[in-house]
Amino acid sequence: MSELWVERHRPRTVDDIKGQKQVVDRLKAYAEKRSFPHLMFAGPPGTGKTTAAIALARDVFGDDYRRNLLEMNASDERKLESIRTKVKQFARTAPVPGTTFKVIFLDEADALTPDAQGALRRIMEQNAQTCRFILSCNYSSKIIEPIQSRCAVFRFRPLADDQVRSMVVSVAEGEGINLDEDAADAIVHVSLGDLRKAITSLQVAASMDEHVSREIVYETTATAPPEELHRFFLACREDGFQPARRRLRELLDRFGLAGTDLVNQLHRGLGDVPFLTEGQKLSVTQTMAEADFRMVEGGGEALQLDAMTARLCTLLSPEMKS
Amino acid sequence: MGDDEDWTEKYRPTTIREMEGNTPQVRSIRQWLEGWAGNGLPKKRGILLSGPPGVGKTTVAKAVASERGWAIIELNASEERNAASIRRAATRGSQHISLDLFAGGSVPDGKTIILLDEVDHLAGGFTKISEERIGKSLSPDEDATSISGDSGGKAELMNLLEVSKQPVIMTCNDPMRLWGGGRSWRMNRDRVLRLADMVQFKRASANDMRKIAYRILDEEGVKIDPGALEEIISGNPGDLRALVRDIQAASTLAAGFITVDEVKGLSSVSIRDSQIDVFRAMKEIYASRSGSEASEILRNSDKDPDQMLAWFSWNNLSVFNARGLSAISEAMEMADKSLATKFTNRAFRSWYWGSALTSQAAVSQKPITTDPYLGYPDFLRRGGESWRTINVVTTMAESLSTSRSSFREELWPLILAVHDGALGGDPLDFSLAIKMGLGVEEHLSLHGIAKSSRQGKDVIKKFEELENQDRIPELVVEDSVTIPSTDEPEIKGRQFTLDSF
Repeated sequence: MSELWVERHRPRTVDDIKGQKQVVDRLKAYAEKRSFPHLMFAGPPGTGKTTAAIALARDVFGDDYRRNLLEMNASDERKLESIRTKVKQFARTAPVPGTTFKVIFLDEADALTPDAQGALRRIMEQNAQTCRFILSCNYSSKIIEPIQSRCAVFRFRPLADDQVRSMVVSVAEGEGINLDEDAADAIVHVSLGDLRKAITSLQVAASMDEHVSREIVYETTATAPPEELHRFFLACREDGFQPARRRLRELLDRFGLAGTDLVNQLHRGLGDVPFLTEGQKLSVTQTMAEADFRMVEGGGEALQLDAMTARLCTLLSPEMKS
Repeated sequence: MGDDEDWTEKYRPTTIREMEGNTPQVRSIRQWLEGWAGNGLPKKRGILLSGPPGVGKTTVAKAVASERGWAIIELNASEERNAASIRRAATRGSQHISLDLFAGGSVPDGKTIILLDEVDHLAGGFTKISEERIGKSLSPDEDATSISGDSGGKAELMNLLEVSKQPVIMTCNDPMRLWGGGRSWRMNRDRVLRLADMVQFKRASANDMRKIAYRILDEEGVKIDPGALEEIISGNPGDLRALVRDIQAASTLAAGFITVDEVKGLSSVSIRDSQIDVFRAMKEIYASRSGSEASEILRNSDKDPDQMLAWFSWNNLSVFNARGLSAISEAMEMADKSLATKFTNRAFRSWYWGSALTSQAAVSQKPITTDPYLGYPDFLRRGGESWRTINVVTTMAESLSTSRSSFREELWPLILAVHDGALGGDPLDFSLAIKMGLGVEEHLSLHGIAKSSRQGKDVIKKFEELENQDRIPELVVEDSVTIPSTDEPEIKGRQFTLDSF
C-alpha cells in the first residue's frame, strides 16, 4: 500500500500501453528503429501522454534512459531565460556514448509562454541531430504553429469506457482485490475517461475494504451515484422545495460533498433527465453555474444551494414547460 | 532509409535552384542583394520576409548567401537579443567594410548577411535604452548593470537598419507581432518599412509540394501511392516542413511503399492544430439536438473554453435572430463570468461551466440544419488575448508592483480625485499617465471621457503627437529616472509638458 498504483502499473514499454492503438502502433515503429523525430502529444489528462513519452525513451535507450532525458514540467522554471540557457545547453551537449541523440521531454508545454516557445523553434532545428524534443500539452492550440510544424503530432483521445474498465479490472486482479462488476462500472463513471483518476479511485476504495463494492466507490470518491442525482431532479419537479432540499442535504452528508462538487455532478447528471427541453436545460445550467460562481467567489454554501434548489423547483415544475 | 536523420534538415535546400514556389518573392530578394554587390549601398538596408511557417523564409536567406558566396551570421530567438547583444553581434560588425575579421569564409569583396530570424519574437520594445547602459552592458567587467532579456531589442534593430553597411535579412510569421499590438502599431510599422522592404511569402502550392515530395521519396528509395501523397498534401496546407515531416513519419512504418491506408491511419491521430476544422465542429454543434452531445463535440475540438466562447459569441450573432440571442444572452454572459473567475480565483473548474453554457446555449435554440455562414471572430484576429483589454487598475498595480486590491483601496481614490474635472483635473495633462505608463485609452477612462466623443478624439490626437515627438529615433535620451524593471518603457525627464493651457 506504500506505493501509488498509478506508478506501479504504469506501462514500462510502448508495447505495454493499452488503448490509443493508432498512436501506439507508430510509436512502436519508432521504438524498433530506436529513433524518432520531434514529437508532440496532445490530449486530455490521464490519456497516457507522459507514459508514452517515458516508455518510448526507455525502449530507445534501455533502463538507464534517465541519463539521456531531460524532463521539464510546469513545476520547473521555464521562462524565456531558462529555455535559452538550460534547454539549449542540454541540447548542445553530446549524448551518452553508444547513443546517437538525447531527448528533452517538455511536459505541459502549453504552459510555456509564446516567447519561450519562440525561443524553442531554432533550438529544435539546429540541434535536431543530437537532440529530439517530445512536447506534451492538453490543448494543441496553445502551441504556436511554427512548433507544430516542426513536430510529428499525435493526438491522444479520451479513453473509451470499456478500455478504462478493462484496465481497472486488470489492476484489481494484479493487486488481489475483489472488485464487484457494478463497482467497476462505477469507477468508469467516476473517471470520465481519465485512467489515472480511475486507478487512484480504485486504490482509495480498496484501502477501505479488500472487497470493493459500488457503494464504497461512490463514497470514497465523493461522487453521488447517478440515480441519487436523478431523484433530486425528480423531487424538484414533483415534491416541491422542502423535500428537494432534504434530498440535497442528504446527498451532501452521505457522500461528503462540497457544494461546488455537488453542483458540478448535478450538471453531469442533467443530460440524462428525460423530461426537460434543451431550452430548459440551458436555464438549469445557468442557474447551476451562477450558484457555483457565487460559491467560488466566497458566497455561503448553504444559502447558495438553497437558492439554487428553489430556482430549480420553479424551473422544473411542470407548469413551466410552456 | 536515412535512419536517424531528420529529413527536414537533411533536405533543406542549400541553393535557390532547389527551392519551389514563391518565385517572384525570391526574385525581389535577389534584386535587392544585387544592389549590395561591389561597393553598393542600397537605400533600404534591410528586408523583412514575412509569411507562414514552413514556406522557406530562413532557407531562402541562407540560399541567397551561399549563391553569392557571402558569409552569413544568424541571430535567432534562442539567443538573448537585447540592445547590447544585437549591438555586439551585428551592429558593430556591420560597420566594417572589410569583413575578414568579422566572419571568415567570405569571398573577397563579399558582404556578410546578417540574418535576424523570428523578429516577431523579439520580446523587447521599440523604446530606446540609453547609450550609457548599452555601453556598460558591453564592457565585460560591469555585469551588475547589464541589460537582461530582450530589453531594447527592437530599438537596436532600428538602429542596425539605419547604420548597417551589410545586408540585413529579417524573418517573421506575424508582422503584427513585430509592430506590437499597442496603439502605436501603425507608427512602428511605418518606421520599420522606411528602412526595410517587406516581402510577403505565400503558402506553397499543391504542385510545389508534390514536386518536393517526389524528389525526397526518390532519393530515399520509397514509393508512394499517388492518392496517399494527395492525402498528405491536403492535410498540410502549404507547410513544406510539415509535409516532409509527415512523409518521414509515414515511411517509418511502410516498408518501401506508402499506401493510402497508411496515411489515413496516420492522419487520424496526427492532425496539426491549423487543420482542425473549428467550423465543422461548430456546424455540428449548431445542428445538434442535445447539450451533452454538444459538449462532447466541444471537448474534442481542441480549442480551450475561452476560445470557444469567443467563437460562439461571434457566430451566434449571424446564426440566431434577435429573440434567440436575447434568450441565450444571459447564459453567454454567465459563461464569460465563469471563465473570468478562473483568473481571479484560480478556480479551474469554472472552465467546465464556460464550455457547458456555451454549448448548451447553442443547442437551446432550434437546430440549424441549413449551412450557416460562420466567420472567424474579428477580435481574435490580432492573435493572443489582446481583446481582453487590460484595465487601468491591472496596469497600474503591475507597474507599481502592488496587489490590485491595495491599489484599488489606497491609491485609486486619490488618482481619481486628481483627474476629476471639478477639482481642476486637466484631460490634456498627460504627465501622470506617462509617468505611470498608461495608454491614452486608460488616460481617457480616468477622466471619464468617451473614446469616440469629440473631446476624446482631441485628447487621443494630442497624446499621439506627444508620443511621436518622444520617439524620434535620433534623440539619445538619458535615463533620468531609474526604474528597476527594464521591460517597462523608460521614463524620460522632459516630456510631461504639452499642457497647452
